[in-house]
Amino acid sequence: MRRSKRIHPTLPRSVVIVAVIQIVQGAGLLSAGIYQAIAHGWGLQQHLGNWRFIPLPLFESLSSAIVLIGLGSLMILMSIALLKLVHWAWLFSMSLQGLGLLFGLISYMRHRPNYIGMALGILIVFYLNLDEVQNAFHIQEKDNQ
Amino acid sequence: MDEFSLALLRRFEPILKYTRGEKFFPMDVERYISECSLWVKEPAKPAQELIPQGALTIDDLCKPKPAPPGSIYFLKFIDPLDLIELAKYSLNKAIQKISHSSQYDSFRIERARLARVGYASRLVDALFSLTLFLRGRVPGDTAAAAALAYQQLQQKEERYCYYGRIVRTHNWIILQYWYFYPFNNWRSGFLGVNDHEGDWEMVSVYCSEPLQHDEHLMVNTQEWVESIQPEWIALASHDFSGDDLRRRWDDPELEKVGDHPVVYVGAGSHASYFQPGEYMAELELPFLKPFVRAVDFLQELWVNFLRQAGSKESKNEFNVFRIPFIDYARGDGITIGANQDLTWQTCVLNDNTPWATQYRGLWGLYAEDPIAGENAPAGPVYNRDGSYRRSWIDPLGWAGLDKVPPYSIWGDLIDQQAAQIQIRIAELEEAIQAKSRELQRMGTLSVALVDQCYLNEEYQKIQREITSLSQELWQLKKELAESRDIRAALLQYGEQIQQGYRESPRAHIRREQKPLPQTNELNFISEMIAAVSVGLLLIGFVLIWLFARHYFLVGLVALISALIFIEASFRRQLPRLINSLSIGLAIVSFFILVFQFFWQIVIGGVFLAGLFILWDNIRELRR
Repeated sequence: MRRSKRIHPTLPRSVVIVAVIQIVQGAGLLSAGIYQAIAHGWGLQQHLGNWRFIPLPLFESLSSAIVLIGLGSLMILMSIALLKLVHWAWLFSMSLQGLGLLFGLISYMRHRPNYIGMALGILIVFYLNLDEVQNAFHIQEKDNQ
Repeated sequence: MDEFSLALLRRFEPILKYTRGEKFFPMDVERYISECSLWVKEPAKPAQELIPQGALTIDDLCKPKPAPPGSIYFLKFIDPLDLIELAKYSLNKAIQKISHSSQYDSFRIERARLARVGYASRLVDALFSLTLFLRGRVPGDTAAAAALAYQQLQQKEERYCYYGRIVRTHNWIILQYWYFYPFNNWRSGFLGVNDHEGDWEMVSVYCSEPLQHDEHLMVNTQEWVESIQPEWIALASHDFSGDDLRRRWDDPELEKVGDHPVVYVGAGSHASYFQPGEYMAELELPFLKPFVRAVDFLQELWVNFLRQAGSKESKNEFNVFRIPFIDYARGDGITIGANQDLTWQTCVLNDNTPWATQYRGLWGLYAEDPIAGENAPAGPVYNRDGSYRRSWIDPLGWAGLDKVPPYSIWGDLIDQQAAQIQIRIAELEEAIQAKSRELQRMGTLSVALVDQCYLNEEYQKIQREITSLSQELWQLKKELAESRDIRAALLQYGEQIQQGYRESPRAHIRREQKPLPQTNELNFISEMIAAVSVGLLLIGFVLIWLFARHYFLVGLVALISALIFIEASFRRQLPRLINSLSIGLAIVSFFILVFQFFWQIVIGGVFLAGLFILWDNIRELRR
């Protein structure tokens, strides 16, 4: 497999910050997943509440150990890719954070909020959207093409 | 108008390039008025016809028209077609289209305007379309009737006219080319903002006046006209004003054929552009103004304070509360101008032209539209409210040239200014010399009095005078130093001018009007989705409410998401979409956190501020 090309010779400080926050977030999810696996097993049907306006089985499965561990690992991998300035890492990280924030909001509406996750998500999105970070990943140039 | 002026106007008369499908071209006002009736609309009364069509003459327009305050005089060019006439017109048009009898008559929208903007803008656009039902507007078939009437007029006598006006002021010779169109069919013909009867547009060429009136030149028209140097050109435009309206004669953006500038005319709107293309024009509805300002403020904050992406470009992006319209100035239709198939007839316009200066009414139907877009404009001299147009009474200021002298006199102006500054420098040197001597004298006196207690009052007075004089001297020395710098800069610039240096022809432009990029990202499906999205959304909203009320929120989110994702995929803008959605979610989450932990955030903030101050002060102690 061909290795992704490095697209920027220097590593901006904001990229380091965003990668570190994402590692912390990933580690948190990973720990929660491991705890879940030990305490409740690997089941995909964890009931988180009874909010009938969101009848999503997918959402129910989100608190499962497998998904938490998977997401946590993905976030850590993305952070490493961000530090290496791999060009697709920015888009994947932003997508992950978007999903994370969406499910964070759904959890909040189901009275099972994860405020720390939300705060980390906000910080990461803010940093990913900084001019400096976008320039490092050539995001605006691609948009303007 | 004398032969010199006429020859000068003809030398620089613009070549106008129209878009295919344009139906109205510049004409003389006499023929238009002969087809019009004159009306007055007094407040709280229905409009009343004063002079019927056929009986109205130019002289009637110029007669004094007493009326109560708030009354509006207007011309009415045309009545809408009846059903049979409209059917005939539509049939003829369809036959022409099929047989391609006129290559200039077919217009196709290649890039739908709604596909270029987001959903919020589309919603505001839908709102604007609905307001057309509520506010006054030009009736639907009027454009077709006007097109027929104009065709008939042209069939009798084909003529294309402009009204030329020459203004001489402050070493400038300003050539104004005024174009009168019988109808603006931007809305009905080209999906634009408005339709209205009568339309005045203008192009100005700014030439430097020869410094000395050579008698030989004044005898020979040809030589005199050729001695005139054009320096700038300004085009009237929708959203631009001042400096941004004009281009320097040597600007590469300005296309020329010989001495004739080429102007691209917006289809239906008749706005003027320097380059061919499709231009985004934005309409701001009066009641949405506060939202527009709020969005502008937030964008400024987002980009400059929070350093978020989009930066410079995003400032020029369209505000979601402004309605986007496209002005098609493709230049692929008829061309009128010198050495073209169709040429101009020059008509004269000046400060003594009675129909221009004495008629303050509208040059077409007063549709009673509060936004005013559907009301006809007033003439070249006046605005709709009867006040003077800036382009008429201040043509230099209108294009931001009131601060710019003609290039030919720059050298003289610099020398004059340098000489004035030199005189001031000499005055300042003399004053400084005198004041310094005075200050030294007072200083000596002050030292002599310092120990004489019985002269204490005198001593205090001298001290005050010393302080005041010293301050005065400091100001004079500062002014002297600055004056020397200014003079040096002027002389240096003067030398550069002598060597032929000129700043960039685009240095004055703050906001440039650029045609929209011809991207391939907008394909048929994305244009289709853009066109139907808002309508589908509203229908889906109703259907979910009727049949799946329990899942209303989820259904609505799913519907909007599906539309947005499908369109973004076809436009290859998924990354931008993901970015926007994530930012939106982050903002919502931020407000939830602030709502949930307001006091904790305040207390935490104060605590952190305390820690910072402590750390900063201790660090200072350790230095």
